[in-house]
Amino acid sequence: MSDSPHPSDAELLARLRGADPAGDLPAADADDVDHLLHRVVDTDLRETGTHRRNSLTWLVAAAAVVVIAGGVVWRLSGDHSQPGVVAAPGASTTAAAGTTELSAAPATGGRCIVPTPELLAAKPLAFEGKVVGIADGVVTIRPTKIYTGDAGDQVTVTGAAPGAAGAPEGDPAFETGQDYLVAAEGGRVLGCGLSGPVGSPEVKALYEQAFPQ
Amino acid sequence: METSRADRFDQLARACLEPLRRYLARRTDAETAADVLGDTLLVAWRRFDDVPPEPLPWLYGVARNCLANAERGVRRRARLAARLADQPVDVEPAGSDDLLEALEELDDTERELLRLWAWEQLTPAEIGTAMGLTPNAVSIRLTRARQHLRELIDAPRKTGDLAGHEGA
Repeated sequence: MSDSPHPSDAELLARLRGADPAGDLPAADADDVDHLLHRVVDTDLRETGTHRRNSLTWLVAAAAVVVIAGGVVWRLSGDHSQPGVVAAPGASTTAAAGTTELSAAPATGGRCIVPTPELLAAKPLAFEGKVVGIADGVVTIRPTKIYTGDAGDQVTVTGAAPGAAGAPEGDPAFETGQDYLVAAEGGRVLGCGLSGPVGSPEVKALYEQAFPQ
Repeated sequence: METSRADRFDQLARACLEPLRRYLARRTDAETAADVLGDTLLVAWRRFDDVPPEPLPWLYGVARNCLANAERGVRRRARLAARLADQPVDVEPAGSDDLLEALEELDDTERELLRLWAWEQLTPAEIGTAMGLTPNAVSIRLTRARQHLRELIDAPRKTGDLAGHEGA
């Protein structure tokens, strides 16, 4: 028998969120979403365009859509890309299935807002990942944990100027084989302490506070 | 006329697609989730005029009903068992298996209340929309559901249930 207190609602909430089975669900591919939505509308318009048929006909049509939708989404479930900002044009671009393209944080004149957990938690994409390669100025990161949004199977960061890398306001100094915490918005990596190596206690603490598990 | 309805539906569906996918991924296997996503969108399209200004809780309610329909069958049980057996748990903290098991021990309503609260992060009013309950009823039942879950977590677990870890 334990006389330890019951977890508070907040603790229970945090535990449940930490066990979220969809915590790392990658986003559906944008093209396949187009396809799925088109099929839903098109099938129904064809059905109702002449005039609404009896329920048996409708059931057959619905079954067809389900089969199509199932196929589309199923095909995609191993193959994802767009971050969870599908509805935000220009937020990022997809170079290939499963790849989220980001550009480097702009090296602005060294002015940064103090990074806070609230600021970080409001960003559309935040993840932890390992740099698996750097070639021709393109950093390739394999996400290992998604805090928010959807990074797909792979993230590339382009335009990281060697001089700017590691600057406080710019990107973390990405190195192959190292793990990083990366936040992005509008298709850009966010510097200013919102992204950095996992080994950085400040960045790590910021992520832990922004996304309690 | 029909085009603009289609455009508005398209906007709605895109805005809600990922939350719906997560909703379903939390409750069923990938194949059923894909099926039910199609069902849900179809219902949303056909009942587009009924969609409230805050569409997501309503859509969760539609998805819930579609899922309940899809789950009527033997196949679903087999799939669920398979999903639980090889669910990827690479990012789950230790102890989450017990927590999910405890969640499964609750009745359907309490489990859904807690999921909508914790995972979909809905307010009592929004949960009410999704489940066809009044906000007041949601608050009362949610309190009870949290208490039940705490009791299950605190209760001694059967040794064999403790973890799927090897050895030890």
